Formats: sequence, structure tokens, C-alpha cells
Amino acid sequence: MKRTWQVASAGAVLLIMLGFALGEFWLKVATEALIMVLLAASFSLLYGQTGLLSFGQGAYFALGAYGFALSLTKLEVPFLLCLVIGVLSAGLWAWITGYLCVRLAGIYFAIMTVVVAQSTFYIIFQWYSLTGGDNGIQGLLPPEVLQDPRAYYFFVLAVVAIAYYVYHRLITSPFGLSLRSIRENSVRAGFVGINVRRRMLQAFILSGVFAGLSGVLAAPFTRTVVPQMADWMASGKAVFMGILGGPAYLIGPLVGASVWVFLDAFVSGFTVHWPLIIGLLVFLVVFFVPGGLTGLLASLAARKRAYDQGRPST
Amino acid sequence: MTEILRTDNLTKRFGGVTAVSAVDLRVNHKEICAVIGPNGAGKSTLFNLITHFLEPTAGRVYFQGEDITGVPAHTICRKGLAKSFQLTNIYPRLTVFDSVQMSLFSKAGLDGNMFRSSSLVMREETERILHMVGLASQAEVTGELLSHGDKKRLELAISLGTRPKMLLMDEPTAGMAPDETWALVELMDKLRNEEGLTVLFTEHDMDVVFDIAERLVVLHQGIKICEGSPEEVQTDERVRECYLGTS
Amino acid sequence: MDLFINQVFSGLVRASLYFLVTSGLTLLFGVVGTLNMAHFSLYMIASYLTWTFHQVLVDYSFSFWAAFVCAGLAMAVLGLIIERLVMRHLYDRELGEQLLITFAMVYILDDLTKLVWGSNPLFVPRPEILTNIVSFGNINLPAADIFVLLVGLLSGAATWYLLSQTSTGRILRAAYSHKEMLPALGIPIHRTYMGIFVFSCVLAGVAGSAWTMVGVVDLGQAHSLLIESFCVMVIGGMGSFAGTALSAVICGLTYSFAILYVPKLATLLIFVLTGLILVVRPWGLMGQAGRLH
Repeated sequence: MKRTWQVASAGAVLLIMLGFALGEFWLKVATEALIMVLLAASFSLLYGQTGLLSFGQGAYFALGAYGFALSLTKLEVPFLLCLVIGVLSAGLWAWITGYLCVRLAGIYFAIMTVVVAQSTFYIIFQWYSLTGGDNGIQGLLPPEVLQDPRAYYFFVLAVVAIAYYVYHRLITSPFGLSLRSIRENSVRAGFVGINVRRRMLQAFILSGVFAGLSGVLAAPFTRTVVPQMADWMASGKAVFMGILGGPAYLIGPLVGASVWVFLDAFVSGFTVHWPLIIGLLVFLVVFFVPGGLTGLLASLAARKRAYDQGRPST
Repeated sequence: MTEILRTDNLTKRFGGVTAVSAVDLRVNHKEICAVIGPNGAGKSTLFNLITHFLEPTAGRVYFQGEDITGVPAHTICRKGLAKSFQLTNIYPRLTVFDSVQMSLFSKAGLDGNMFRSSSLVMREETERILHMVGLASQAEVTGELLSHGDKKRLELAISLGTRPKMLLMDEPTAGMAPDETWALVELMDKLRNEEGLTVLFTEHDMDVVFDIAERLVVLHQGIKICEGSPEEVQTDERVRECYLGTS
Repeated sequence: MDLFINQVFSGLVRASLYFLVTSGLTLLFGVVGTLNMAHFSLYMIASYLTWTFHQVLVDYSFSFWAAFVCAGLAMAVLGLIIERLVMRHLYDRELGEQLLITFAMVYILDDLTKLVWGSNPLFVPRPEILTNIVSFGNINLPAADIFVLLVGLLSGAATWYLLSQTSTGRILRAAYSHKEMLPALGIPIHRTYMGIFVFSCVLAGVAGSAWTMVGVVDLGQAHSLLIESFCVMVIGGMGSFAGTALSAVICGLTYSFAILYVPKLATLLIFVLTGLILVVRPWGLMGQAGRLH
């Protein structure tokens, strides 16, 4: 418990210092990484905690972004209210679609999330009068104080830090333990009195809210929203970041999103074959380190502890 | 002697096969009652019908006077009727502590609580149950790493965590070493005396049955052929027939 | 009336494509229980291979037909390699890992395709005979479309024959229903699985080659069919071969008529249909209720 706080404060100090130290390019990369942490967290809450494999988190990411964009351009309400509307619309959509999804088990659940995400993509794509179709919506400026990349970085950092604290509280709460029990053995969980479907739906909605928050922060960051935010590549990104970091660990989403975004920015400097690299990386992680990079670190640390104490590792 | 569980005319047919046929069962409060019978007599099916793991073809189940037929598993559990499984049915990658704490949360209606920290709630209660079943020293071990006997104990602890008034145990000693078996028998007795638990169990091991059960119900081909005290059952003609065959 | 017949025809052509792309996927899932998300990438690679073989043989009049066969063979070899390297180690893993691995393979295979063939769209010219228009009264049907329809029918018939009329098929059906019994009967289950995976790759190969006659070979072709093909599979019943054929026809016709009246909603309609099926009858039209993986 105490160690969690030490690590968290060290991380916060580091991130604040980075905000001052980084040049504009890497600052933007860092901002994107922070935003993506929430998308990875939304996947991890479902898969890592609840055991539900969703290939459709892109839908809620896009809903958040479009909810924000539409309330900014059509309703012309204040920036912060736009953020709230975006998150709420993602949560609402997760509620409606999750109600259908959690009725299904295993592979059917996974396919249903794909179908839902792709439907969302098509609706956004085809509803030209509202969403501008494949042109998307441009010119989504945050208020003047946040237009400076550094200011926006700190704004995102603050929001993500709060959201991450909420994520931490969620997975260490009795509710979080219920989710893990469902992941481990949903039949048994039902027999000790947990309303399995209801908890799954709650997890689904919360995960939609996290994805939505990520989308809401992404829209003013890129100044534009496009339907591709909802397509299956966007959902795939959530999956890969979550898996890479280790979806069952608290800091998994943070690790996964950072590795993805920074590696992407770094690799893009000299090759266009990013999908090949990330594909191979995820491939290797799933095959050889099921706990993701965090799991790898944890087992190395355990081995070192065992070594320090003079016993062979197990 | 008050009645806690009753089934009326409980029947289950699978296709043309009648697995459980019009069974009327009564279990009294704080009683240890065993259901016995040769393989395929319908013992497991009967348990699954009571906890609504299977849909009965006909008949009703009453728990504490209340009709619980067709009620979802999690609701039945909340009412105080818990089931422990024949095959060890635990959470493979949760620690022993978490597994048991989960049941307590559920019983206290906290399983949907997002605002408290689970490391601060119901610790003593969890530890008490772990002590009771003898798993206290392994609280932080992951379920899948336990020995077979300990898994069975964890299984029981998970059920106890829901603070049941009555416990259904399907073959609780299956696969246990003799000393583990007798430890479990002792535990059942202790639970009844100290916690006021009613136990209904199925068992292969007749030594166990005759040692602890106060009342026996004998099933044969889905039909209740006899019930009574161990002595009565031992001397019953029909029971001898079904176990030994007609001479 | 002519319009109606035309729409039915184009719906059936589309159904044929759906069926070609989905049948390998559904077969693998039905027998082995693994959902291969990378199946569509394999289908795309088959199209590129057809293009390459066609380029090599471009001087001969039979170049396309030869390319068609060669692509099928090449897919079998590719399937063998992938089975050895990856799939073999997947069958015993849990569902989530299977999906994740094959999903990662989508990224890898797509990018390798880009690496080998570049990102420009490629055309495979139609052989003489497929450039004709076949006319029945007022109805004009492109020969290439008829070709795709025929390939679909033939491939379906051949697979059906293999499954229901041969001893191999008997083994496969046994693998579907009594997986655990096969080793006891002395049937090497891994070789069965390998065979079925290679066969699913060949089916993807046929689909990819057929596609080159009616469309452009490009990196997006897999993605555009991926989701609809999932839908076809779910509606028919996952793992049910006959169900896949039926639902391919349903989806093809739905699409071709919807595109006439509500063009914007044509694809969405298929999704909604799938959603309904999943909620009401998750095992699909012809799947088995008890077999929820």
C-alpha cells in the first residue's frame, strides 16, 4: 500500500518534470501517451479484471470524441461541459450496447463487441448531416489557456492522474474483487451471491467511460475527429496496448500505452512498418509473457528477491 | 425441530431418462443429513435442482418456508443456502484470502461497492473463517497452487463466507487422504455446533456417513427408497436390496 | 422484373464471395474451435499471389487459370508453414489468447503484404472469356460475375462432398463432436487439425483468386469483408458449414436489395441482423445450441 503511494508520487514528479523538460515533438508524444493510457485502462478493466475480451473499445473512444466535438460545434457550450457531455455519451452508449454484449459468453461476446464497434463506425460514417461523414469535424480548439501544447499536457496530466486514481480505487474496491472473481470462475461467483451479469454490465459501462474520457481528451488534442476513431484498428490499439502492458496489473495500462506511443513515435522516424513491429511484439508477449511487460518486471523482481535471500527461484 | 429445507415431488427428466423422480425431502434445522445411493442414483442431480443449477421438470423447493424454485443461483445464495461443489470449484488465480473475502463481501451486500478499499473491510471475519478451516497460514497463496485437500478446504471456506444457514456438500471428501477426511468430518460437526449450520451432503465413504450423519436419505434410480436414522437405514430391506442386489 | 432478377443475381454473386471467404473460417472453427482472425489476411495474400503468378505467366493465354491453381497451391504451402509455426501451439490455449495471437497475425501479415507488394492497388486482367457479357433477353450478366458464382458453388459442393461423403469427412465430423475420443481411436488429432487448417487456407486462396476477377487487389480488401464475414458466420451458426452457406445467401440478398432502397444502411442492416441473432439465438440459424465455446 505504502509502496504504491511512493511509486505514484515518484511517477507524478517525473511526469511533471517531463512537462517542463521535453521539446515540442516529444511533449506531444507524451500527451498522446497519457491520453492513450485511459484507452488501455478501458480495455484492461474488461479483460484484465473481468475476463471479457472486447474488440470494440474504439466505439466508445469515438463516441467520447464526437460527443465532445458536436457539443462544441453544434451546441456551443463551454469547454468543460463539452468534456462532460462527451464522457456521458460514451457511457450511455456503453450502457445500451453493453446490455446486449454481457448476455453473451466467450467468443460470442468478443464478436458482438466487434459488430457493435463496426456499427458505430458506420453510423458515424453515414450520418453525414450530423457528423460530416468521412470529413470528420475540424477546428476543435480548446480554450485559449490550453492551446499551448505545454498547458494542454498539464491539463491532460491532471485529468489522467485523477482518472487513474479512480481506476486504482475501482480495482482495489470490493467491486474490483467481484470482477476478478467473475474472471476466474463466473459460475462460482454466481453461487456466492454475486449478480454476475449486473457486475459485468457495470464494468462494461465504466470501461466505456474510460474510453470516452480518452476520446474526449484526444479531440481537442488533434483538433479534429474522424470516423476512423471507431473502426476496428482503433479498437485493436486498445487491445494491444492493454495486452502489452499486462491487463491485470494496476500500472499495466500506463506501461502499455507509453511503450506503444513512444515506440511508435520513435520507429516512425525510420520505417513505415510499424504494424509489423507491434504485431510481432504483441505476438511474442502473448506467447511467452502472458502477464505483459508489467508481469515480466514483476517476475524478474520476484526472482531477484529470491536470489537476494539466497534461495533458488521457483 | 423446525424444518429448513423441503422439496415436494421434485422431478428431473433428461430426454427419456428420469434422473430424479418425485423426491420429497425434508431437512431439519441444525441437522446433518446425508443423501446416499449407488452411482447414478441422482444425488448430484438432486443437489443441482435444489440450487437451481438445473431446471426441474416438476416439483417445488422450499427453503425456510419460502418457495425458491426457479430462483437464480445468486439469490438462493443470498437467502442462506450455499453449495460446495463435487469438483473443486475455486478461483484459480485469486489468493485464498481474496477468495473467502469475496464471499463475505457478497453476503454483506458489498460486492458492488466501488468506494471502499477491500483491504480495509471484513479482514477479521475472513481470517476467522480461514482459521476455522485451517488455511490461515496459506492466506496469500494462489488457489491453484494449493494441494488437493487444501483446495477442498478453500472450496468449503468460500461457501462458509456467504454465512449460510444451510450447506449442501456434494462428495466433500472425494479424493481426500484419510486424515484429511476425518479433519473435515470434525469440522462439519464443529460448524453445526458452533455456527448452527445445517448440512446436507452426499458421500461415498460409508464410514463417514455413519459417523456423522444423524439422518440418511437413500436414493436409488432417482427414487427415494428409504430415510431414517443410520440404524434404521442399515437394517432396511430395500436398501440391502439396492446395494447388494436381490438374492 | 428485370431489375429484380438483376438484384437477385448480384446478391447471389455477393453471397458467393461471402461464402468463399467465410467457409474456411467456419470450417476451422467448427472442427478445431479456433477463430482465426487472420483468415482475411490470408484471403488478401491469395489475391496478391494470383496477381504475381499471373505476372509471371503473362505471356500465356492460360495465365489466369494457371495463376488460380498456383495461388491455391501456394496458399497450401503457406498454410502448412503457419500451422507449424503458430497454429499448432494455439489449439490448447485459452480462447482469449487464440484471438489475440491471430489478431496480432493480422497486423503482421498485412504489413508483410505491404512490404512485398507495396501499397498501390493492383489489377489482374480478365482472361478473354470472362470479359464477355452474357445476355438472357433484357438481362445482361457479366461473365466474371457468373464465374465467381460458379466458383462459390463448386467450392461449396466440393467441401460438402469432402465433409459428408468421404472417410476424411467422417473423421472431421468426429473431431467436431467428440474431440477427446479421436486419440483413443488411433486417429492423430494434430494431423487432422493440420489438414483442416491447410484446407481452410486453400479455401481462402480460392476466395482470393476469385476476387481478382471482380475487384481490385489492395490492402483494404480484407478489412472491408472482415466484419461482414464475421456476421455471415454468426448468423449461420459458428462452425456450421451449411449454416454459413444459408446465411451467405441471406446476407448477400439483403445487401443487394438494401443497396437499392437504403444504400447508406445496407451494411448496417447486416450488423443489426447479426446483433439480433446474437441476442435471440447466439448459436445461429443452424448451429448447435450446446456448443458455446
